[in-house]
Amino acid sequence: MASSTRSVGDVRDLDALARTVDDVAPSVVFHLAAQPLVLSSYEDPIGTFQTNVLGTANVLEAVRRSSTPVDAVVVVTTDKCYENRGWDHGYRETDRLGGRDPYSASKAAAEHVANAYRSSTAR
Amino acid sequence: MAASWCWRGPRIQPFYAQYLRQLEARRRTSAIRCFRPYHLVHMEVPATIDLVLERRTASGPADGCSPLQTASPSPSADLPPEKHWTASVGRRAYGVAAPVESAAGFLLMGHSGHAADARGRYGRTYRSSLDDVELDSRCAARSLAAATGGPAVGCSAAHVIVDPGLSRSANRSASPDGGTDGHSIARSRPWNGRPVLLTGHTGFKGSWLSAVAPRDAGRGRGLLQQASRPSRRCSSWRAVDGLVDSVSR
Repeated sequence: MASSTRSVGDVRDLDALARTVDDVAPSVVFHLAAQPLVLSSYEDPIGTFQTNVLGTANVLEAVRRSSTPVDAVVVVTTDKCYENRGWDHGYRETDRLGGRDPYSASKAAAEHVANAYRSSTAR
Repeated sequence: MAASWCWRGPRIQPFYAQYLRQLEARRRTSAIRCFRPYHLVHMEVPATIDLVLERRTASGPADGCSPLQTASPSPSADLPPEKHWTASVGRRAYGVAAPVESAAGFLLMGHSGHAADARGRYGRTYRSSLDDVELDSRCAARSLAAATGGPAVGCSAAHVIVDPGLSRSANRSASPDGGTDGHSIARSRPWNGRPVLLTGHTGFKGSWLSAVAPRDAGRGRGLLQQASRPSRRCSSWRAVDGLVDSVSR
Protein backbone atom coordinates (compact mmCIF):
# COMPACT_ATOMS: atom_id res chain seq x y z
CA MET A 1 0.00 0.00 0.00
CA ALA A 2 1.32 3.36 -0.87
CA SER A 3 0.43 4.97 2.41
CA SER A 4 -0.79 2.21 4.57
CA THR A 5 -1.13 1.16 8.13
CA ARG A 6 -1.75 -2.27 9.44
CA SER A 7 -3.74 -3.18 12.46
CA VAL A 8 -4.43 -6.25 14.46
CA GLY A 9 -8.07 -6.68 15.26
CA ASP A 10 -10.79 -9.22 15.46
CA VAL A 11 -13.65 -9.18 13.01
CA ARG A 12 -15.81 -10.66 15.73
CA ASP A 13 -15.43 -7.42 17.63
CA LEU A 14 -17.97 -5.16 16.03
CA ASP A 15 -17.15 -2.10 18.07
CA ALA A 16 -13.45 -2.26 17.28
CA LEU A 17 -14.24 -2.94 13.67
CA ALA A 18 -16.61 0.00 13.50
CA ARG A 19 -13.97 2.26 15.00
CA THR A 20 -11.49 1.08 12.41
CA VAL A 21 -13.91 1.72 9.58
CA ASP A 22 -14.65 5.17 10.93
CA ASP A 23 -10.96 5.84 11.32
CA VAL A 24 -10.06 4.76 7.82
CA ALA A 25 -13.21 6.07 6.15
CA PRO A 26 -12.61 3.74 3.23
CA SER A 27 -14.08 4.05 -0.20
CA VAL A 28 -13.69 0.34 -0.74
CA VAL A 29 -13.61 -2.44 1.83
CA PHE A 30 -12.23 -5.84 0.99
CA HIS A 31 -13.21 -8.46 3.49
CA LEU A 32 -10.87 -11.42 3.34
CA ALA A 33 -10.31 -12.15 7.01
CA ALA A 34 -11.50 -15.61 7.85
CA GLN A 35 -10.85 -18.88 9.48
CA PRO A 36 -9.82 -20.46 6.20
CA LEU A 37 -9.04 -24.04 7.11
CA VAL A 38 -11.45 -26.92 6.70
CA LEU A 39 -9.64 -29.11 9.17
CA SER A 40 -9.61 -26.40 11.80
CA SER A 41 -13.31 -25.96 11.33
CA TYR A 42 -13.85 -29.49 12.55
CA GLU A 43 -11.80 -28.74 15.61
CA ASP A 44 -13.44 -25.42 16.30
CA PRO A 45 -16.75 -25.16 14.46
CA ILE A 46 -18.12 -22.45 16.70
CA GLY A 47 -15.07 -20.29 16.23
CA THR A 48 -15.27 -20.88 12.52
CA PHE A 49 -18.88 -19.79 12.35
CA GLN A 50 -18.18 -16.83 14.57
CA THR A 51 -15.31 -15.64 12.44
CA ASN A 52 -16.67 -16.39 9.01
CA VAL A 53 -20.35 -15.68 9.47
CA LEU A 54 -20.55 -13.19 12.29
CA GLY A 55 -17.28 -11.64 11.20
CA THR A 56 -18.72 -10.99 7.76
CA ALA A 57 -21.86 -9.57 9.29
CA ASN A 58 -19.76 -7.36 11.52
CA VAL A 59 -17.80 -5.99 8.60
CA LEU A 60 -20.96 -5.18 6.72
CA GLU A 61 -22.59 -3.76 9.81
CA ALA A 62 -19.57 -1.60 10.52
CA VAL A 63 -19.85 -0.30 6.99
CA ARG A 64 -23.55 0.32 7.43
CA ARG A 65 -22.90 2.28 10.60
CA SER A 66 -20.04 4.21 9.13
CA SER A 67 -20.48 7.93 9.14
CA THR A 68 -18.64 8.11 5.85
CA PRO A 69 -20.33 6.42 2.90
CA VAL A 70 -18.49 3.41 1.58
CA ASP A 71 -18.64 2.90 -2.14
CA ALA A 72 -18.08 -0.82 -2.24
CA VAL A 73 -17.65 -3.82 -0.05
CA VAL A 74 -16.17 -6.93 -1.56
CA VAL A 75 -16.64 -10.11 0.41
CA VAL A 76 -14.34 -12.86 -0.70
CA THR A 77 -15.43 -16.43 -0.28
CA THR A 78 -14.61 -19.85 -1.68
CA ASP A 79 -15.86 -22.47 -4.05
CA LYS A 80 -16.51 -24.63 -1.03
CA CYS A 81 -19.61 -22.59 -0.31
CA TYR A 82 -21.24 -24.49 -3.14
CA GLU A 83 -22.67 -27.94 -2.82
CA ASN A 84 -19.98 -30.45 -3.62
CA ARG A 85 -21.12 -32.31 -6.68
CA GLY A 86 -17.85 -33.95 -7.44
CA TRP A 87 -17.09 -31.87 -10.47
CA ASP A 88 -13.53 -31.51 -11.50
CA HIS A 89 -14.13 -28.11 -12.97
CA GLY A 90 -14.95 -24.85 -11.35
CA TYR A 91 -18.21 -24.05 -9.65
CA ARG A 92 -20.30 -21.10 -10.63
CA GLU A 93 -22.09 -18.45 -8.70
CA THR A 94 -25.35 -19.87 -9.91
CA ASP A 95 -24.62 -23.23 -8.33
CA ARG A 96 -26.48 -24.32 -5.24
CA LEU A 97 -24.97 -23.34 -1.95
CA GLY A 98 -24.01 -26.15 0.35
CA GLY A 99 -21.54 -27.24 2.93
CA ARG A 100 -21.02 -30.54 4.67
CA ASP A 101 -18.32 -29.32 6.98
CA PRO A 102 -18.30 -26.31 9.28
CA TYR A 103 -15.99 -24.29 7.08
CA SER A 104 -18.02 -24.80 3.93
CA ALA A 105 -21.26 -24.17 5.77
CA SER A 106 -19.86 -21.01 7.28
CA LYS A 107 -18.92 -19.72 3.88
CA ALA A 108 -22.32 -20.55 2.48
CA ALA A 109 -23.87 -18.72 5.40
CA ALA A 110 -21.61 -15.76 4.76
CA GLU A 111 -22.99 -15.66 1.24
CA HIS A 112 -26.47 -15.24 2.67
CA VAL A 113 -25.24 -12.55 5.03
CA ALA A 114 -23.63 -10.60 2.20
CA ASN A 115 -26.70 -11.02 0.06
CA ALA A 116 -28.97 -9.82 2.86
CA TYR A 117 -26.91 -6.71 3.44
CA ARG A 118 -26.70 -6.07 -0.26
CA SER A 119 -30.44 -6.40 -0.64
CA SER A 120 -31.46 -4.52 2.44
CA THR A 121 -28.87 -1.86 3.02
CA ALA A 122 -27.16 -1.03 -0.26
CA ARG A 123 -27.65 2.58 -1.05
CA MET B 1 -6.40 -15.04 7.70
CA ALA B 2 -3.18 -15.66 9.43
CA ALA B 3 0.17 -16.49 8.08
CA SER B 4 3.68 -16.28 9.27
CA TRP B 5 5.18 -15.02 6.08
CA CYS B 6 5.18 -11.55 4.74
CA TRP B 7 5.14 -10.50 1.17
CA ARG B 8 7.92 -8.04 1.27
CA GLY B 9 10.94 -7.37 3.33
CA PRO B 10 13.91 -9.53 4.07
CA ARG B 11 11.91 -12.57 5.13
CA ILE B 12 9.94 -12.98 1.97
CA GLN B 13 9.70 -16.55 0.86
CA PRO B 14 11.57 -17.48 -2.28
CA PHE B 15 8.63 -18.32 -4.47
CA TYR B 16 6.79 -15.19 -3.53
CA ALA B 17 9.85 -13.28 -4.54
CA GLN B 18 9.71 -15.13 -7.80
CA TYR B 19 6.15 -14.04 -8.40
CA LEU B 20 6.88 -10.50 -7.46
CA ARG B 21 9.67 -10.51 -9.99
CA GLN B 22 7.26 -11.83 -12.56
CA LEU B 23 4.82 -9.13 -11.65
CA GLU B 24 7.41 -6.47 -12.16
CA ALA B 25 8.55 -8.08 -15.37
CA ARG B 26 5.02 -8.09 -16.70
CA ARG B 27 4.65 -4.48 -15.80
CA ARG B 28 7.76 -3.55 -17.65
CA THR B 29 6.55 -5.33 -20.73
CA SER B 30 2.98 -4.07 -20.45
CA ALA B 31 1.82 -7.64 -20.74
CA ILE B 32 -1.15 -9.03 -18.92
CA ARG B 33 -0.89 -9.25 -15.20
CA CYS B 34 -3.13 -12.00 -14.18
CA PHE B 35 -2.65 -13.53 -10.79
CA ARG B 36 -4.56 -16.14 -9.02
CA PRO B 37 -3.43 -15.98 -5.45
CA TYR B 38 -4.91 -19.34 -4.69
CA HIS B 39 -2.45 -20.71 -7.14
CA LEU B 40 0.25 -18.75 -5.54
CA VAL B 41 0.62 -21.18 -2.74
CA HIS B 42 0.83 -24.00 -5.20
CA MET B 43 3.38 -22.45 -7.46
CA GLU B 44 0.83 -22.22 -10.23
CA VAL B 45 0.79 -18.57 -11.00
CA PRO B 46 3.36 -18.95 -13.73
CA ALA B 47 1.20 -21.55 -15.38
CA THR B 48 -1.78 -19.24 -15.34
CA ILE B 49 0.15 -16.35 -16.69
CA ASP B 50 1.76 -18.42 -19.36
CA LEU B 51 -1.52 -19.88 -20.37
CA VAL B 52 -3.04 -16.49 -20.89
CA LEU B 53 -0.04 -15.24 -22.74
CA GLU B 54 0.16 -18.32 -24.86
CA ARG B 55 -3.46 -18.04 -25.77
CA ARG B 56 -3.02 -14.47 -26.71
CA THR B 57 -0.04 -15.27 -28.81
CA ALA B 58 -1.60 -18.29 -30.43
CA SER B 59 -4.79 -16.56 -31.40
CA GLY B 60 -3.26 -13.23 -32.17
CA PRO B 61 -5.24 -10.21 -31.13
CA ALA B 62 -5.94 -8.04 -34.11
CA ASP B 63 -7.68 -4.73 -34.49
CA GLY B 64 -8.39 -4.57 -30.83
CA CYS B 65 -10.12 -7.91 -30.92
CA SER B 66 -9.03 -10.96 -29.06
CA PRO B 67 -9.99 -14.56 -28.43
CA LEU B 68 -11.95 -13.31 -25.47
CA GLN B 69 -14.34 -11.59 -27.78
CA THR B 70 -14.54 -14.13 -30.51
CA ALA B 71 -15.28 -17.35 -28.66
CA SER B 72 -18.93 -18.26 -28.39
CA PRO B 73 -19.53 -20.66 -25.57
CA SER B 74 -22.67 -22.12 -24.16
CA PRO B 75 -23.34 -20.38 -20.85
CA SER B 76 -25.37 -23.16 -19.36
CA ALA B 77 -23.29 -26.15 -20.29
CA ASP B 78 -21.25 -28.01 -17.76
CA LEU B 79 -17.96 -28.02 -19.44
CA PRO B 80 -15.24 -30.57 -19.20
CA PRO B 81 -11.88 -29.14 -18.32
CA GLU B 82 -10.47 -29.47 -21.80
CA LYS B 83 -13.15 -27.15 -23.09
CA HIS B 84 -13.12 -24.87 -20.17
CA TRP B 85 -10.69 -22.38 -21.47
CA THR B 86 -12.49 -21.49 -24.63
CA ALA B 87 -15.86 -21.37 -22.99
CA SER B 88 -14.76 -19.53 -19.92
CA VAL B 89 -12.85 -16.93 -21.73
CA GLY B 90 -15.38 -16.47 -24.40
CA ARG B 91 -18.36 -16.24 -22.18
CA ARG B 92 -17.41 -13.45 -19.90
CA ALA B 93 -13.98 -12.03 -19.65
CA TYR B 94 -13.57 -9.82 -16.66
CA GLY B 95 -17.23 -9.09 -16.64
CA VAL B 96 -17.62 -8.73 -20.34
CA ALA B 97 -15.67 -9.65 -23.38
CA ALA B 98 -12.49 -7.70 -23.13
CA PRO B 99 -9.21 -7.94 -24.94
CA VAL B 100 -6.55 -9.67 -22.98
CA GLU B 101 -4.37 -6.66 -23.21
CA SER B 102 -7.01 -4.51 -21.60
CA ALA B 103 -6.86 -6.72 -18.56
CA ALA B 104 -3.47 -5.40 -17.61
CA GLY B 105 -3.52 -4.49 -14.00
CA PHE B 106 -6.23 -6.89 -13.04
CA LEU B 107 -5.83 -9.08 -10.08
CA LEU B 108 -7.90 -12.20 -10.32
CA MET B 109 -8.67 -13.77 -7.04
CA GLY B 110 -10.55 -16.92 -6.72
CA HIS B 111 -10.60 -20.58 -6.18
CA SER B 112 -8.98 -23.02 -8.44
CA GLY B 113 -11.15 -25.64 -9.92
CA HIS B 114 -8.19 -26.84 -11.85
CA ALA B 115 -5.41 -27.02 -9.39
CA ALA B 116 -4.52 -30.52 -10.40
CA ASP B 117 -4.64 -29.60 -14.04
CA ALA B 118 -2.47 -26.61 -13.46
CA ARG B 119 0.04 -28.70 -11.65
CA GLY B 120 -0.12 -31.10 -14.50
CA ARG B 121 1.16 -28.40 -16.74
CA TYR B 122 4.57 -29.07 -15.43
CA GLY B 123 4.11 -32.61 -16.57
CA ARG B 124 3.01 -31.34 -19.99
CA THR B 125 -0.53 -32.40 -19.38
CA TYR B 126 -1.98 -29.03 -18.59
CA ARG B 127 -5.28 -28.58 -20.27
CA SER B 128 -7.55 -26.28 -18.34
CA SER B 129 -7.84 -22.65 -17.67
CA LEU B 130 -9.44 -19.89 -15.71
CA ASP B 131 -12.51 -20.77 -13.78
CA ASP B 132 -15.94 -19.80 -14.89
CA VAL B 133 -16.66 -18.35 -11.55
CA GLU B 134 -13.86 -15.90 -11.92
CA LEU B 135 -15.21 -14.67 -15.16
CA ASP B 136 -18.80 -14.22 -14.24
CA SER B 137 -19.93 -10.71 -14.83
CA ARG B 138 -22.28 -10.21 -11.97
CA CYS B 139 -20.10 -10.21 -8.95
CA ALA B 140 -16.73 -9.13 -10.14
CA ALA B 141 -15.80 -6.31 -12.39
CA ARG B 142 -19.30 -5.15 -13.05
CA SER B 143 -20.35 -5.11 -9.45
CA LEU B 144 -17.22 -3.43 -8.31
CA ALA B 145 -17.30 -0.97 -11.12
CA ALA B 146 -20.92 -0.12 -10.54
CA ALA B 147 -20.31 0.12 -6.85
CA THR B 148 -17.46 2.52 -7.11
CA GLY B 149 -19.81 4.81 -8.91
CA GLY B 150 -21.83 5.35 -5.78
CA PRO B 151 -23.85 2.73 -3.96
CA ALA B 152 -22.45 0.36 -1.42
CA VAL B 153 -22.64 -3.18 -2.68
CA GLY B 154 -21.97 -6.38 -0.87
CA CYS B 155 -20.37 -8.59 -3.42
CA SER B 156 -20.63 -12.19 -2.46
CA ALA B 157 -18.15 -13.23 -5.03
CA ALA B 158 -15.72 -16.04 -5.02
CA HIS B 159 -13.34 -13.70 -6.61
CA VAL B 160 -12.29 -10.15 -6.91
CA ILE B 161 -11.12 -8.37 -9.96
CA VAL B 162 -9.15 -5.32 -9.24
CA ASP B 163 -7.79 -2.84 -11.61
CA PRO B 164 -5.71 0.06 -10.41
CA GLY B 165 -7.12 2.17 -13.16
CA LEU B 166 -10.81 2.43 -12.46
CA SER B 167 -12.21 5.88 -12.16
CA ARG B 168 -15.54 7.09 -11.03
CA SER B 169 -16.04 9.14 -14.13
CA ALA B 170 -15.16 6.27 -16.41
CA ASN B 171 -17.67 4.05 -14.68
CA ARG B 172 -20.50 6.47 -14.90
CA SER B 173 -20.06 6.96 -18.56
CA ALA B 174 -19.52 3.34 -19.37
CA SER B 175 -22.99 1.95 -19.71
CA PRO B 176 -26.59 2.87 -18.98
CA ASP B 177 -27.14 0.08 -16.49
CA GLY B 178 -24.43 1.20 -14.18
CA GLY B 179 -22.01 -1.42 -15.31
CA THR B 180 -19.02 -0.92 -17.41
CA ASP B 181 -17.09 -2.70 -20.04
CA GLY B 182 -13.72 -4.24 -19.99
CA HIS B 183 -12.10 -1.32 -21.68
CA SER B 184 -13.30 1.26 -19.27
CA ILE B 185 -12.48 -0.95 -16.34
CA ALA B 186 -9.01 -1.47 -17.57
CA ARG B 187 -8.37 2.12 -18.37
CA SER B 188 -9.85 3.66 -15.31
CA ARG B 189 -8.43 4.00 -11.83
CA PRO B 190 -10.37 2.79 -8.83
CA TRP B 191 -7.82 3.49 -6.16
CA ASN B 192 -6.40 6.77 -7.13
CA GLY B 193 -6.32 8.74 -3.94
CA ARG B 194 -9.05 6.71 -2.36
CA PRO B 195 -8.73 4.90 0.95
CA VAL B 196 -9.05 1.16 1.07
CA LEU B 197 -9.69 -1.12 4.02
CA LEU B 198 -8.61 -4.70 3.64
CA THR B 199 -9.26 -7.37 6.21
CA GLY B 200 -7.10 -10.44 6.18
CA HIS B 201 -4.25 -8.78 4.41
CA THR B 202 -1.69 -11.35 5.49
CA GLY B 203 -3.57 -14.25 3.98
CA PHE B 204 -2.57 -15.65 0.65
CA LYS B 205 -5.18 -13.69 -1.20
CA GLY B 206 -5.07 -10.60 0.93
CA SER B 207 -1.33 -10.33 0.72
CA TRP B 208 -1.51 -10.14 -3.01
CA LEU B 209 -4.30 -7.68 -2.93
CA SER B 210 -2.32 -5.52 -0.58
CA ALA B 211 0.78 -5.96 -2.66
CA VAL B 212 -0.72 -5.18 -6.00
CA ALA B 213 -4.00 -3.38 -5.94
CA PRO B 214 -3.83 -0.58 -3.43
CA ARG B 215 -0.53 0.80 -4.53
CA ASP B 216 -2.38 3.67 -6.02
CA ALA B 217 -4.55 4.15 -2.99
CA GLY B 218 -4.25 7.41 -1.21
CA ARG B 219 -4.09 5.53 2.03
CA GLY B 220 -4.95 2.08 3.10
CA ARG B 221 -5.45 -0.04 6.12
CA GLY B 222 -4.84 -3.71 6.42
CA LEU B 223 -6.67 -5.39 9.24
CA LEU B 224 -5.35 -8.70 10.42
CA GLN B 225 -7.73 -11.19 11.79
CA GLN B 226 -6.68 -11.83 15.34
CA ALA B 227 -6.50 -15.58 15.63
CA SER B 228 -8.48 -17.00 18.49
CA ARG B 229 -6.10 -19.90 18.52
CA PRO B 230 -2.87 -19.05 16.79
CA SER B 231 -1.82 -21.69 14.41
CA ARG B 232 1.57 -23.25 14.23
CA ARG B 233 2.28 -21.14 11.20
CA CYS B 234 1.48 -18.00 13.09
CA SER B 235 2.42 -18.71 16.66
CA SER B 236 2.39 -15.08 17.54
CA TRP B 237 1.81 -11.78 15.90
CA ARG B 238 5.47 -11.09 16.31
CA ALA B 239 5.79 -13.37 13.33
CA VAL B 240 4.64 -10.51 11.21
CA ASP B 241 6.82 -7.88 12.73
CA GLY B 242 6.86 -4.87 10.55
CA LEU B 243 3.37 -5.44 9.30
CA VAL B 244 1.54 -4.42 12.41
CA ASP B 245 1.42 -0.76 13.22
CA SER B 246 -1.46 -0.64 15.60
CA VAL B 247 -3.92 -2.77 17.44
CA SER B 248 -7.64 -2.19 17.18
CA ARG B 249 -9.42 -3.31 20.29
